[in-house]
Amino acid sequence: MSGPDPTARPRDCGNDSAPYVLGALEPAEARAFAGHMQSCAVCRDEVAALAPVLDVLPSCAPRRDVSPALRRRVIRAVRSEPKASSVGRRRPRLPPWMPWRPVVAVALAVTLLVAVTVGVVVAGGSGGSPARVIPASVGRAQLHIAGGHGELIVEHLPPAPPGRVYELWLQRRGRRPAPSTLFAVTSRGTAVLGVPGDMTEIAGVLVTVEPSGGTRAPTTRAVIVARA
Amino acid sequence: MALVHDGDARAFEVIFDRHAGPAFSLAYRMCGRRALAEEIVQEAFMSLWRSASRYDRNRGSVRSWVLRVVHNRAIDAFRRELSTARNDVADDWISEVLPARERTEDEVERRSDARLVRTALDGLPPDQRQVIELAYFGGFSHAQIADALGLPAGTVKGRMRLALGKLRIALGEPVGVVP
Repeated sequence: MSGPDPTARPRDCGNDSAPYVLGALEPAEARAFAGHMQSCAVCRDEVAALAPVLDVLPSCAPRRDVSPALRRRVIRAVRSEPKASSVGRRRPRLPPWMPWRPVVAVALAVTLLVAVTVGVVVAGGSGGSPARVIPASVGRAQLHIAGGHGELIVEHLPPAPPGRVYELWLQRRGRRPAPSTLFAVTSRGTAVLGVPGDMTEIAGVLVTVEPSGGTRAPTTRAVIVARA
Repeated sequence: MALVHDGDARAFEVIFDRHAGPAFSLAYRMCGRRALAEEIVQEAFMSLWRSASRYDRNRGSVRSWVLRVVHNRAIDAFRRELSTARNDVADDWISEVLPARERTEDEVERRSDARLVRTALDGLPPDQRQVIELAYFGGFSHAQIADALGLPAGTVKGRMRLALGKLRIALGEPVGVVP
């Protein structure tokens, strides 16, 4: 008996490759197709062959000029937001008589509750910085908050089970978690998503695994819990 | 990008000036409103500023990464506005770390490829071009497109496959994806 033929197609899977490349599969379909590709060399090759189109497809958009005002806004925002990485490098140079300073900086930024600790990234903000970085759990996850806007960055998160999706919840003080957005992770377990809504009053965020389409209240235990 | 990772705002300005035009063009094409397009581009570049350490030089150019972030942000914006659950495509982290000469050659090649694909896109049958534009520039899933056009899902997927295959062939490396 020989092993499975990597070129064998157990179903008409070829039609999923183009919508997969375009990001046009539903989340559960995309996960199923990504799993299918692990054993189907034909689909894997077809996706690899089609993917370069995505690099040039954006150039089909009619050219528009960037306004000077937009450039000023972005540059101003960048200059007012020290990077977490550079802040981290400065820490060892703090004078020995101020050992408490990084602790206070991080404490001001976050208090973290870990649901499932696999690895925690500590990248706290600095005093006076408008940005907050909330380290979370499960692989690596960070919530960046700056200027009232939030961005969740996740790494090494396993795909949600078939028919399920990750759902992000925002918690404000004295209120129940409110549904925010649904997301899936790539085959590499990564996700980067903007968190809709005003983050200035945020008390914490949760991520749960929910049925496709999401729910109005968490139905499972959170895999990521971070409290600001 | 290494300088951006190190917090060099001047290096970030160079990156912004190099890629903001195509980024804004894509955002405007997707959302059709200058204010929203500017918001999307600003969010995308702030994401780059905060997450430059995540670059993997083996996965492509900064241009591709920025445009993918813009694309994903635009889809997020659609979802916020329409309150429609949709596939959230995570960003693909890529990097450029090419010497200037290679970068220039890469830019020339990219422009040439873009011209080829634009021509090929214009030359697609209307029904195939329509599904590509709805999926990529509109951020719709194949199921949403099928609903909107009153077509079976398989037909929409088939048109996407034919269209992408033709666009790929236009890039000069025909592959056996078109039946």
